[in-house]
Amino acid sequence: MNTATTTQPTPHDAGHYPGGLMRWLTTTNHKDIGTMYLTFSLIMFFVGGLMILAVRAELFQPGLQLMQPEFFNQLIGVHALVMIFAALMPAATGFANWMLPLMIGAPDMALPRLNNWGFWLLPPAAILLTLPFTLALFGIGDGAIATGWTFYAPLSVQGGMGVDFAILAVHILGISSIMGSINIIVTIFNMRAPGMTMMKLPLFAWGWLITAFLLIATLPVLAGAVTMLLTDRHFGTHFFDAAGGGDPILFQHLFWFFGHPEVYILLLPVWGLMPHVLATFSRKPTYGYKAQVYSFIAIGLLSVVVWAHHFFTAGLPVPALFYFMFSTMAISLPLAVLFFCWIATMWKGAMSFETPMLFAVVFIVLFGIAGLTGLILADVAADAQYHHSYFVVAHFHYALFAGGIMGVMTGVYYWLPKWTGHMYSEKLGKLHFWLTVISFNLTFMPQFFLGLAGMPRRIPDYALQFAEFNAMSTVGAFILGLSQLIFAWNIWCCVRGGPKVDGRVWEGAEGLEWELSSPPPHHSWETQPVIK
Amino acid sequence: MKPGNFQIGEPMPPAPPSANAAAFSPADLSARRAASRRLGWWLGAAVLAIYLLGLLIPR
Amino acid sequence: MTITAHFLRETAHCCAGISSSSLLTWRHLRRLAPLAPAWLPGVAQAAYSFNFPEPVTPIARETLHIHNEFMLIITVLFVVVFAIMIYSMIRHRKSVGHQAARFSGPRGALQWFWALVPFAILLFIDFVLMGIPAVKAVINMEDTQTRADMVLKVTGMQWKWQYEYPEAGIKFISTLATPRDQIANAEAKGEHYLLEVDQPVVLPVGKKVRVLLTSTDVIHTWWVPQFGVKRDAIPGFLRETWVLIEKPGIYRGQCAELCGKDHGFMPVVVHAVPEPEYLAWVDSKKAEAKAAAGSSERTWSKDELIAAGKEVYEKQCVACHQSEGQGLPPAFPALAGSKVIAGPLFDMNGKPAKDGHVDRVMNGKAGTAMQAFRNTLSDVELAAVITFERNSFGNQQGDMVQPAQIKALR
Repeated sequence: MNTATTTQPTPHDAGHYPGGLMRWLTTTNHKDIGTMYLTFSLIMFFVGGLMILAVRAELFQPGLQLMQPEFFNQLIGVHALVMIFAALMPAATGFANWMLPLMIGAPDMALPRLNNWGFWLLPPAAILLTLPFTLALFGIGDGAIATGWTFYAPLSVQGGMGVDFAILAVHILGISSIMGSINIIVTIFNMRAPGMTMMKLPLFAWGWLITAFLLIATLPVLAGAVTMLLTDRHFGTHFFDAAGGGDPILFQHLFWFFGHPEVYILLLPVWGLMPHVLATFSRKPTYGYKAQVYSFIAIGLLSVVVWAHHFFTAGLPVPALFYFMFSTMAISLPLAVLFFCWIATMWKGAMSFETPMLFAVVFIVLFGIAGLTGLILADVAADAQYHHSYFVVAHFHYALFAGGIMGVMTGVYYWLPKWTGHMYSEKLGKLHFWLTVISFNLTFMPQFFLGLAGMPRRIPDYALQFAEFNAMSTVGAFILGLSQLIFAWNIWCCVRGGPKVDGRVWEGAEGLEWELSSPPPHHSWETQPVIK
Repeated sequence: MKPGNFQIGEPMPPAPPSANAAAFSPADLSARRAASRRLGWWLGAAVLAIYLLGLLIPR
Repeated sequence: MTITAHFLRETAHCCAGISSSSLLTWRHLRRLAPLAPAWLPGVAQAAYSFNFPEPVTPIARETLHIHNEFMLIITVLFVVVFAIMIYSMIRHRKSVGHQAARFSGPRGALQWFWALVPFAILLFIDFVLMGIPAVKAVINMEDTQTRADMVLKVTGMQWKWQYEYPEAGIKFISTLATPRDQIANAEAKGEHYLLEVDQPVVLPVGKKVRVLLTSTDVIHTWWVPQFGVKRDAIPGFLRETWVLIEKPGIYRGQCAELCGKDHGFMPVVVHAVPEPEYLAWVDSKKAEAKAAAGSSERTWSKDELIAAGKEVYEKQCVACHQSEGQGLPPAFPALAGSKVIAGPLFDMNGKPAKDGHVDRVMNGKAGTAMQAFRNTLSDVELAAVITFERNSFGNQQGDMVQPAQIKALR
């Protein structure tokens, strides 16, 4: 225990805030809101996971066994929207809510009521997104959005009311994310403890700062694109209809202007987290702090100027192909700096491999596969073969499951003792880790080969030569899905009880957040720390 | 991060930050919150401006 | 091996449960394995393919070459980088008594040099080793016009491809030939399950074919893996690519862009044949077209029209309106008891009644998957399918439409 927390006066409003459900509805406390974000994210992770398990079951063997193609198309699109907007993004926001004030020495987020509002927009949006499934059961409409998460016009102009629900849901999710981002930016700018200059800011905060700016710059473009889609659908405009002077490819430009930065929006908080975990378990300072900060900024800037590599087959002019190819390849340079810094942080440390460290190490390896395959996908000449195939599906799951979700798991195991004051079960954690890593690769490695052999994405049924790898992938997916129950159980048990931990938790942990007790007091830093 | 953690090549000084701790004064806190609200509105305005740029696209 | 063993030992003591649980899974799988072929016939062939299929065009060969080269580069990068990391994970562990160093950045010229070397290597790989061959390949790939011998126009539509040979004046639609029963697992799957069509495209080998692509409804993507080309077909716009097939054979591909319900069921099949054979095929197609044109002049009997219409229906309409005309409401309305069919065919001036049966089939319905068949079906086909629909699925209009009537409307 440290003096800052023991000498702290009793919080002035202790015992004044409501209990039960009203506590959660009305809370403005960053830890409560962070907890809600993380819980919501975990629930939606299972919702999105169930959807894709149904899909993988259908793909276990050739032929249509379980569902019709219309329903298949709805599942894949809503799976993606749920995982991106309702599982990964809220998880990162939950981390930010919980940890930023602790890390920068603030009593709370700068705008607590905005914070509450930002969270409570999420559940209605998630309901809107999935409601059409239920409505279809009662014969209303023809189900959820069936265009994939990309909303490509004119398919989405043609689609049923599931598209309208999804457009509305994306607007609400976007507003929520923008409010969260604004809060994070102003908190980092205004709430830092004296002496914490921007170049002393924890890397997690830096990663989130770049993410927040990317969200503010790109989410309005997505909102604009889907609004234009809505007016094309119902109000007679022709943004994306060639017959009325519009252009379907305009939609792809607008969508991916958001969609590509979105990848980094999901990954930057994780890249920010990694150096903390690696330094803690290597018992050694972070290597190349400044280099990492500059890389974050460089990746943030590059990410908004490379979008067209998502539709190289759409027939872009040759100079545009070259520009987008080389600018995309350029992202590998700052990314290589990050990999170098991560490994250099481990180099000559005194490493131990608790669950968060295991996840962090495997994150580096598997995210490395995503990065390297991304490099060759950027190549227009080879991309013609990879594009729209399972190769791409495998690539982005290495980026977003191994890079995103396993990064989030790293953070959960790393910070869970800080949040709850209890140690999770290391044995269950490691079991979860090994099952996840093995089944993840069993699921997605075969998909690279499926793509190379010529299997297109988003098909509910496939030719016989793809049968073996698909069967393997489905077996992997079910093990992967079931293993996550261990994760949920481990968190549940840790919240309920377990061995008590002190403020520092990990032997090698450094940083302001570890100076507070575990769990931290209601108002995190009522007493200002001073950083020299 | 602990003080001094980022000075390249330097060992970390052990001083706990609480040594120089002082309570957040209400005045300081409300000034920080006011600055945050101002910046927040500006960022919100930027979002709206980007969104409305879409009106310039011919339909 | 030893590296992995070391790493595993590090955590082995904590996960004794894994081996037993994964054994359990394998045992279950083994028990399921013999069931699989009995459960679903036709899946017996084992095909583990780890790379692109055999290339048959210059572009596909170049793409395969580039792909292999890149795979080698990234595999080397991967192995080197993670060998360093794994070495560190073995040597620099607390449990072997390693003391943590305190450095947090490069110090001195030598360390800066080593920190910048990987960066320089990557710069070289990105923009020289990978960049230069890519630029050459892309310029070649996009050069559709130099010395092109012929043009093939490909039109994507939900969910079939239309092929047009402008020079020869040939035009036809190519649809999936796999029986619905195979898809529904009611009968054994054929060798080319989902990759077979009623009318394949025929192309001569050794000729540079400029392929023009467009679409009538949503975006589709024309892809034959062995040709190494993939290009979107975009409604209202023309895109192009080219193929020069070097080897006779049958090449199969699929639509690669999600285009709605039957995206997985619109294959591309190309027959590449020597030129004389191609010319003979062109002649036979032309004769066929001529016969069809002649037949639109004569008067057809109702039974003839219904029989011909049933064939057209089963290729063009059944995907949405279903085999019994029951449709898939609300997206795809039923034809059985349809109000459109029950309405008048023509108005007082002899024009198709607005939103009537003839109008709907010929002109489609904007904003839905119902496309305009005016340009994709012949006079006979249109007359036949309309007549068939009016006298099937319990619809008893009793009337018919003659091909000559359709011809007069064009």
